[in-house]
Amino acid sequence: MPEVTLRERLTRLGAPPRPRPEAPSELPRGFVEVPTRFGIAALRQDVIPLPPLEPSPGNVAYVDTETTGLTGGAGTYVFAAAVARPIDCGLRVAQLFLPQPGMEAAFLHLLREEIGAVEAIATFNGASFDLPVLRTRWVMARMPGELTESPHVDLLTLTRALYRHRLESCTLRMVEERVLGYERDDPIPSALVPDAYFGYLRAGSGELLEAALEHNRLDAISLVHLHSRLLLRLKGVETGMDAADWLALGRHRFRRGARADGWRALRNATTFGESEAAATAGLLISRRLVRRGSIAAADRLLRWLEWTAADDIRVALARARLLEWRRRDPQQALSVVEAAGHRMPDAAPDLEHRRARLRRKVELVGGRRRRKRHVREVQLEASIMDGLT
Amino acid sequence: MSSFPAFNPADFPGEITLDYVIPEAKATFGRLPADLQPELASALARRGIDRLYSHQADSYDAVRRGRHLVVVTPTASGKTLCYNLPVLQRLLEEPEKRALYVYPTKALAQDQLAELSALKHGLPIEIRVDTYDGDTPPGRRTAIREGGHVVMTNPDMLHAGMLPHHTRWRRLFSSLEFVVIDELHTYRGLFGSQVANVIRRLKRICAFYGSSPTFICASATIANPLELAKRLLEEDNVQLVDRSGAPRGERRLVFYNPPLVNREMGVRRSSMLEARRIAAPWIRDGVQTIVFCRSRLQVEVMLSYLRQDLAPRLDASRRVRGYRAGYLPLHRREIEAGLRSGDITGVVSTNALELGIDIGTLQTAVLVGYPGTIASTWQQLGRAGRRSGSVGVFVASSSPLDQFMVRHPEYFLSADPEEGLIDPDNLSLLAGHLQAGLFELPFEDAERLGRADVRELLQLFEEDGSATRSAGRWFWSRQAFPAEELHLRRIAADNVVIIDTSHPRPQVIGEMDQFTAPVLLHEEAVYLHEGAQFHVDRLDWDEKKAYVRPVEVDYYTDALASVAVQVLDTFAGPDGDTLSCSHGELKITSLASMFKKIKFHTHENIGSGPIHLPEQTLHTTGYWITVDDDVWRSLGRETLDHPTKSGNFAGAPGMEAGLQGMAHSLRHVASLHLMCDPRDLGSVAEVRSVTTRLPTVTVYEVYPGGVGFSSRMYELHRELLDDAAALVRECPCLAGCPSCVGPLHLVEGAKGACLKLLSASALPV
Repeated sequence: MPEVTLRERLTRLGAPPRPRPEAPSELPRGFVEVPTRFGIAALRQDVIPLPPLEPSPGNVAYVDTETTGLTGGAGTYVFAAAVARPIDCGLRVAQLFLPQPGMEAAFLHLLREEIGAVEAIATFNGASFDLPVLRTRWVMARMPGELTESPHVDLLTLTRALYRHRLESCTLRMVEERVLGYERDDPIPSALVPDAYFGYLRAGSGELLEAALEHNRLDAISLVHLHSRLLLRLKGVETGMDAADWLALGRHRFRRGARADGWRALRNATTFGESEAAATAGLLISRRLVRRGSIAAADRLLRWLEWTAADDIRVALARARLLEWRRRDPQQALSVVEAAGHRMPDAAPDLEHRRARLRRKVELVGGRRRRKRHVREVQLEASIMDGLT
Repeated sequence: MSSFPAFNPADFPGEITLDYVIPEAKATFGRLPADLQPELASALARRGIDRLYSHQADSYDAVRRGRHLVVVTPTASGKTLCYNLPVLQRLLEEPEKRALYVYPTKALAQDQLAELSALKHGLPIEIRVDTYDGDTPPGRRTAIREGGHVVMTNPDMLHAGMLPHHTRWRRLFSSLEFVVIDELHTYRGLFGSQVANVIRRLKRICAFYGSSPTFICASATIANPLELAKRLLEEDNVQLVDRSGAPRGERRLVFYNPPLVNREMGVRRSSMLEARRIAAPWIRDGVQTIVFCRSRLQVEVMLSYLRQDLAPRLDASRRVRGYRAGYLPLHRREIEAGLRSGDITGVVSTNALELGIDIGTLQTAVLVGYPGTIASTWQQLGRAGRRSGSVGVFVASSSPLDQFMVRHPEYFLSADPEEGLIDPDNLSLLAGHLQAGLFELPFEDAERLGRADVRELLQLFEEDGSATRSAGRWFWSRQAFPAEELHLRRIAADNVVIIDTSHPRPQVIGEMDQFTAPVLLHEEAVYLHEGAQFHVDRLDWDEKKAYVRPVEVDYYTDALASVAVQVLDTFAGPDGDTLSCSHGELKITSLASMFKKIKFHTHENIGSGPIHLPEQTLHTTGYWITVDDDVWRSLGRETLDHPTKSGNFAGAPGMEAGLQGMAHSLRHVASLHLMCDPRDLGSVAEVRSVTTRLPTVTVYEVYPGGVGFSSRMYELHRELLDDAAALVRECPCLAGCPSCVGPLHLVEGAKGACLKLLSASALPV
């Protein structure tokens, strides 16, 4: 502790306490007191126009909270929560505010009412932040039972899976600008939000707190639009997707176990021809084909990729590997490697080891008759190849 | 005696002041408790235990009767069973219950985990025992929070990792039945005062969840275990069990004072070199030996010495290992395992190993220098031969405390004069923990933190915006996470990270606290790590990063710091005596100004350089003695009237040196009484203090705000003067040496002046 502070404190401890500032009695603009059986809560609600969402997410509550810190722990409070819910005539936006830390029980009770009767709740990073913090508040306020356990969709996770390749960072601000296509004139940087609330506790409502509340409200509204956009992409019906978009979607669908969708998305990615993402998608498909035993189909795909992505060393290597180990054809593998070495002189030294080994094999096999091997060819993925050749 | 590893006093030129065989002691047994679950009894039987030592039985009874407990028995007396038994019994009766074990170090928790896991094996229910500390993988933490029956942790983790996130630990805190606090004696001074506040916070959280745990403390021998436990726990219903029923093997204790090489200067042969001569043959013969050094630096130097002594062996560096707090956890685990398996025959350690880690087979212990407290000395000596005949040798250094102890072995053997002192109400500590507590749970209007009245502090917090009052309660109202800013073992917030730049990708090899760093990590310092030397190329003080690279040079560096004092407030005194004492609040400034390069082996000074680092300021409490001006002048004249044998007059310089000698000797005897490290105290002598305007000697606490030592020194004033005088008088040097009056041996008349000053209170004012 710095010397001055300790000294000051000692002196001040001896002095009579200063009169305390009056606790603010005025709620921020638009909020009304709502009695609950846990005391008074502060609520503001309105309905704003909302164009019909296609596809419609269903009965989902979009939740965003504002807290007094980012570290979590028992001393971090939630002082505002915005809940946006699409209804027949538009978007209902309810916002709760905590006028004093001691009024938390009513706040949490009302919040549960707001998010209780829905099919799911959606947040942006709620899995690791908003929900744990709310659960902590629930315990701290000695609320009975548990906070609502509706199914939860974390839009940050989805955004990362589908858009990370397009964004430098996955903040909501960045997503709004680059994915949803609008720039919000944010009235307050996130770092100042806790101070806005502490300022209110000391001196009552002011511009800073109004700005923080608006920030909270707009965040929740953005989530509605973001979710709709993500669903569009998940369905694979969004226009203007490029190879990288399809690749991200394909990977995501595979991770979630939706294999048919995954195949389709990867196949779409490969149709973009000369791009790294298209080649990556093609390589993923060929790997899966090999795993299923469709060696010939994989070979055909790789041959085609060799032509569309001629300067992608990964393709040449994958084909050489396939020819050498699966088709047992070192001769042809060697020619693939040599051709790649000519096309990509920079990569030639890296290929040297493989080329030497293949040469030895070719010489060895040249002396005797090649043993016939029965290679199991399965034409399972013929349909996939249709689109390519 | 033949069972002892060979040690022949005649081989050593110095003085053996104690060669004592502690006879073996027979065991006293008690019955297995009648209510003990049969499965638990058979688990004990499988480990060869069919009856309990008397202290184990007594402890069980006390805990079962719902009393808090403090057990004080020697090392290796089966102390852990004193708490494991009632805890396991309760868990078998009610598997929903939980226990929290707090150990001062992570390593100790690891070791006890193994111990308890072996014991619980074969019990009818799965009792989940885990350590929870900084090394616990994030993936396992949730499972531990939800399902751990016994969670073993350390005060630091409890303070910063568990209490602030108590809602995640709801399961544990709401069913918490026992809190075990092992190594109670380590919770004294600053650390103890901090931990006392952590316990206050823990009890608040337990109350919130409706639990009220029984505390079980275990301690090494100190003078006031019951008082310390009561103060730490703030409980009155504490029972003391201090009669050990455990048997003890024969042990040989030797105190060795290295020979004087220069009587005039009081210089003795280096304790490091003598300890090396004692330890090296043992290690060579495969006798597992532990060498305790006083500092990190000494550990590294000793390590290189002992490895040289094993040199023809190719595995020397694998068989002799260093062990100290700066090492990374994996590294430490590996060394601990090597000790158990016997692959390692020699360990050089700071006091990290002093605590009761059971590594079984060590046969000999060598202490380089006095560990600072009698309790620590017993523990370090107890490291060797917990079960068989063993030898422990204390090699005294030239330091005053060492010389006092080695010349007074009866002081060591007879009593235990050391007290564990804490001051949980130290204002700056209290304020820090109040903030942490406020973060964890709002305060009711009249609520206290433990026994401390905190209303005024809360009002203060409200004024500076840290707290808000709402609905009759106080709430934390800052963005910061207060526990993170508060370190239990030191006040400095930011550690300096040590980075080895010789790799293509620079590696972090360790870290150091901000107060030590100017002295050990200044630019051009040679920093030793695991026996290897590193040159500090650059110290980025703003970023708290030291960039080092490995070097091989034949010297090490030693830095000097200068210190100044200002009195801010006087709590008591002066009492108007010739040597008038006071205590109060001080501001200390310290500046590391230069360093010396010292050659290995010969210890000669081969160069020096300046240190350009910011001054460190310390706000603390202290005790100071002023010398009456008339007495000072008359003593000064006396000194002037007596020409020294060189024919020169040693006037004012002699008196000033005497005053410095007084500061030096007082600091050392004070640390003996206060059971603290001499480095926990600082001392300064000023011929004319800015505050008292008199010749003044100040002994201050190095922790901001102090932890209660100063008022105790004020009370002990007489004894401190007497013991300091005895220390100086009995020193065999001729005119003062580092062992009595401090590093002033070149000033003639220092010793005489110092003695006169220390006895001056007998003179009329």
